[in-house]
Amino acid sequence: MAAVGRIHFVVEFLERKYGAFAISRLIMMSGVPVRSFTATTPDDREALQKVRAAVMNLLSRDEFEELLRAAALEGREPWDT
Amino acid sequence: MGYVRAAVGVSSAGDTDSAVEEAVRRARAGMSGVDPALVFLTATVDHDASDVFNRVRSQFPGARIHGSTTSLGVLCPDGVVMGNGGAVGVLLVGGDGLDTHAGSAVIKDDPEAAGRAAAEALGDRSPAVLLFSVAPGAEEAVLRGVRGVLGDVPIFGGSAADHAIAGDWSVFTDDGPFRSAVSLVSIAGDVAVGAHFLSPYRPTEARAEVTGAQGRTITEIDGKPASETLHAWIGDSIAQQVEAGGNVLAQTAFRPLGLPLATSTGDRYLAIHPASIRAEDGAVNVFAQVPLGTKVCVMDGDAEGLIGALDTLIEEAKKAGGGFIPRAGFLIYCAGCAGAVGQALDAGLRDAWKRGLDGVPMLGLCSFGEQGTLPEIGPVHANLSMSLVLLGDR
Repeated sequence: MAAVGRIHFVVEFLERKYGAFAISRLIMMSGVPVRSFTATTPDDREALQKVRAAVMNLLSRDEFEELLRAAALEGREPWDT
Repeated sequence: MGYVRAAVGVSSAGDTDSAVEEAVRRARAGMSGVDPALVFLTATVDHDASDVFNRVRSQFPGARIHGSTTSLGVLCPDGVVMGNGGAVGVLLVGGDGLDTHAGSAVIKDDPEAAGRAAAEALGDRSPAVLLFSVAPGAEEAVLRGVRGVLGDVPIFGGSAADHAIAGDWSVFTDDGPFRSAVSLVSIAGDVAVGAHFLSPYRPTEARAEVTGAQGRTITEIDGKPASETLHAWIGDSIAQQVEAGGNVLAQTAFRPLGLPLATSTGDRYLAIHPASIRAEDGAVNVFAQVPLGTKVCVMDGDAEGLIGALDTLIEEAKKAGGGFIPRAGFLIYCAGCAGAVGQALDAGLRDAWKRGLDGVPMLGLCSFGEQGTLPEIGPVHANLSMSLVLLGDR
């Protein structure tokens, strides 16, 4: 489980797939300034939980599973299980 | 006979210098040499508002500047514009016979006084329409102040917005950008105006009385903690927030509260967006005042309806203008609606504009509150709503 950069990973995935508008929506729904998180930003549990809740609202079940698969390919889990 | 000339320019460039330069260059190209009297300006908060304003002001030293920062992205006839470094948009409006005045005030302790001060600064007491831009928080009081000076002038506009609801927004006034301010621009002269305001939801039969409210917090509905009623109306998608508190913007964007306003043809409903739940007492924070004793209902909507409403908005605004030729559009679309609709807003807006106003320049923003004027009711502040002001040739 990565200890850094998980929000950045989620942002990169969403932006690549759905564009910058999706990231604005993620910021609005989570209240987390996700663009300020880099690949080396230590994971913040509270921020991760908010981002997860917002992502689950933004994505369909299939899209959410695609995010999980993309994370698995990189040996990651986007959030604590 | 006067005429209106308008052109829009947008940019998703990441650095502010390039973004403003591109947006202005594109818009200027459509003006055929006509100097703008008014610059309607918006940008996301990814750009520094002062930097945006100063660069635009240096390009148009003699024009009124009016607008605000937008949430999510910039709206234009091509759809939603947003880059990974933000977006900027300008709508230039000029022409022969167009008469504009600007007034603004910083909002401090007394928002009603700020509304009065901005209206008094206008110097125009009978405009055809008043464009309104305001910081979120006390829109009702600001509107009261404006109305106290100008009476029943049609008012349309939106509340400044950021992405994270973190207070990073700015209102672009003619005197510069301010976090907490109201900006007014009056439109008069030899110009035709058509405008419309709507909340794109259907009222349901589920109703209850607000029995406790303070400002923009509903503490009790039907004598119970407000979150209990909301939970029953919205369902278990907000169960976690009812239990532990938190943001319910997404879950309530298709099921807002409805505030009835009586008219001779029946009740009209203003949409009120529940933003968050306070776990300790079950209070629900909303983005507008709900008077004690109001019988609110839960309203019903969906993504298709929120996009389809753009067709209605366009047609009603055109109808309101009579037999005019629309030349410019000012669109306000609630950020909560835009967030709920998601990616589909891009094509939905593009298609609706092409169907209804193909070729007419338009700039829009995603706001944190919407203000409009309703027949028999007057100026209102609501949430999850949209408005369109069209200027045109008679």
